[in-house]
Amino acid sequence: MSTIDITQTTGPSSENFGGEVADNGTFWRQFIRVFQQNKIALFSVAYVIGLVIFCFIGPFFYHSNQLDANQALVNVNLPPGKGFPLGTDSSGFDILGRLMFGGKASLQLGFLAAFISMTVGVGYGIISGYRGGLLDTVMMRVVDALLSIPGLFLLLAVISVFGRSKLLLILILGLTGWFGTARLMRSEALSLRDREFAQAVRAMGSGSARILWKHILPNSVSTMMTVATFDVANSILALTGLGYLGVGIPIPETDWGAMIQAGSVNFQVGYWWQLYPVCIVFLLLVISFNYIGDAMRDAFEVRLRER
Amino acid sequence: MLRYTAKRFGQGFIVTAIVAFFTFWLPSLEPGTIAKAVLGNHSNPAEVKLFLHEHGLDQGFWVQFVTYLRHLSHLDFGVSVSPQTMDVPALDVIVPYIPRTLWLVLVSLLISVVLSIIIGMYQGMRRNSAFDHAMTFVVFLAYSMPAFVFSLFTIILFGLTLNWLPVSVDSQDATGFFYPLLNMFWYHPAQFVLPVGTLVVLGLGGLTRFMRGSILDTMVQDYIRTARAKGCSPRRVLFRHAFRNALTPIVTIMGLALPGLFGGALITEQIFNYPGLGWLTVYATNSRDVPVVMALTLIVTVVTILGNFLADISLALVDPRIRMLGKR
Repeated sequence: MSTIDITQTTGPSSENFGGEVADNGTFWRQFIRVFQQNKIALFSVAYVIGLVIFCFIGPFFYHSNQLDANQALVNVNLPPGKGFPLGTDSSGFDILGRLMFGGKASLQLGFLAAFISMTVGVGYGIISGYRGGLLDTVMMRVVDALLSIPGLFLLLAVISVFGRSKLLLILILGLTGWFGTARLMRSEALSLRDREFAQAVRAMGSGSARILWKHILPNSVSTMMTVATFDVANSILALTGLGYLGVGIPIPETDWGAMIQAGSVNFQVGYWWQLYPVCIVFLLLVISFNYIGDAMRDAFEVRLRER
Repeated sequence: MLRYTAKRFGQGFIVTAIVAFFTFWLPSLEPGTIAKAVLGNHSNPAEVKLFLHEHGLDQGFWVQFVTYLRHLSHLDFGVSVSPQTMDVPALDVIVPYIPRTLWLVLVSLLISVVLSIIIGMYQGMRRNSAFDHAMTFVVFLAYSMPAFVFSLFTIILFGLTLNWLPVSVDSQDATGFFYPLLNMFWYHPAQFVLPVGTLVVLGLGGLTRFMRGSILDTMVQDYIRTARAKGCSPRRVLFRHAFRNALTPIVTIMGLALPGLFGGALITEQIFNYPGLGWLTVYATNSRDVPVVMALTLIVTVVTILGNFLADISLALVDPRIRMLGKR
């Protein structure tokens, strides 16, 4: 699947929780203990961290021209060799530096968009589930409607109206990525609001806002973390897809999707170095995020089973 | 049954109405986009204002929405504003592309459902066997593989390296509802192996996962134990008792897989240069042809909603428990 359906990959939320988080230390210690038994997931975390360092700190140590198109023109389509460890692309930009340059934009966008979609989705879902009744029905019908628009069509529809810029892409990806999150958080809030601790807090006279903020939200942190992981992966996937279609981050900046697109054209005349590195880096990132998400869900679930 | 159908239809209608509101609301946020597409980038503000006034784009929000809905009820989606198809009704631009994508998606969906049933069943029966673990890994890969990377790899392997299959689909000038299907199975089957294969693999991930879970759930049910206890052969237990019950949910999942498949088709069509709805969407987006993009979004969504509706109805037909659920 080109997008990860979080509603399917995250288990039934009714199993997700028992009571209130009493001791944060034990909660995280148990989670980390189970999580680190999963060696592939640890590799994945290491890869993601490594890639972030590569993209954000790498350019400080590895200098390459990524912006001056005129200066780059003398080095068009060079194979890997002296001065260019991974060769150059059809505009003459160094591929290794380009990986960092495009990766930085892709990661920034992915994380920021995921942050927006998490904020909107969690807020929307929790309010819908907590209030219930007619409001819940209306809010969920809207989510149903938005979820039935195939994701890429929705993205292109928004882009066709507003055009594209980096800021706009972050907003677009963030504001079209929260539907699944909202649905999950809604069922989470629905199952939490009638628990004994919530009733107790209500009996003591807490207002809705306080219950939501202080009790429902902290108790759904396990679901939120898992969803956030998939959200980041989805945002990066969507962005790369858009870049591939030619409607990603506009020049002079670039993203991995645009690199893959350019590489796939030039691959046919034998310039393999323009396609393979970026594909491998990107694919490993997506697989890593999926693995981390899966492992997180497992770790949280094991923790619950051991209670 | 009638009541259930009516209720489900009502829900589908409401969802469609919300999407229609969305496709109306989105362009109205930036009415200048359409004006610029028609008048060119260097039009002066007075011209833009006049254009907006002539096309009723400066009227009140709800007035415009009612007009939009009235036009929609006549299947009028507005006119295209891209240079090549200026002033052609959006629907006329879109219609020739519909059957191509529809058949591509339907054929891929059918193939991936059949394959996922076979693989998922086998996995569920031989849980934790080497085959199960191997398939789980493969399915995980398919699940997390982005469409364009996967098709690139297949193109490189089968098209460029081994030279077995063509890497793009020839121009599909001839129109007609069933022509793409003939193309796919009779005239140019080789050209469709890679695009259809890509979509099949993409759909397979979720479906197989689901099918395996479904058969595992079914095998621990009481009626399976009863069937075993009364002396049914394992074969009979599997096919008469387990299989039928495990199969019912896949109808729903088929409906749910539709948006993903349309999204996947968008990328696949682009890669293999197949002029379907997705290809047209990208083209229209690049030429800022807002009315056509909105019409496309609405049409694809309505097809998706219709698919879900049909899936739910057929599920209710085979499974009386679903029908009863609505009555409570």
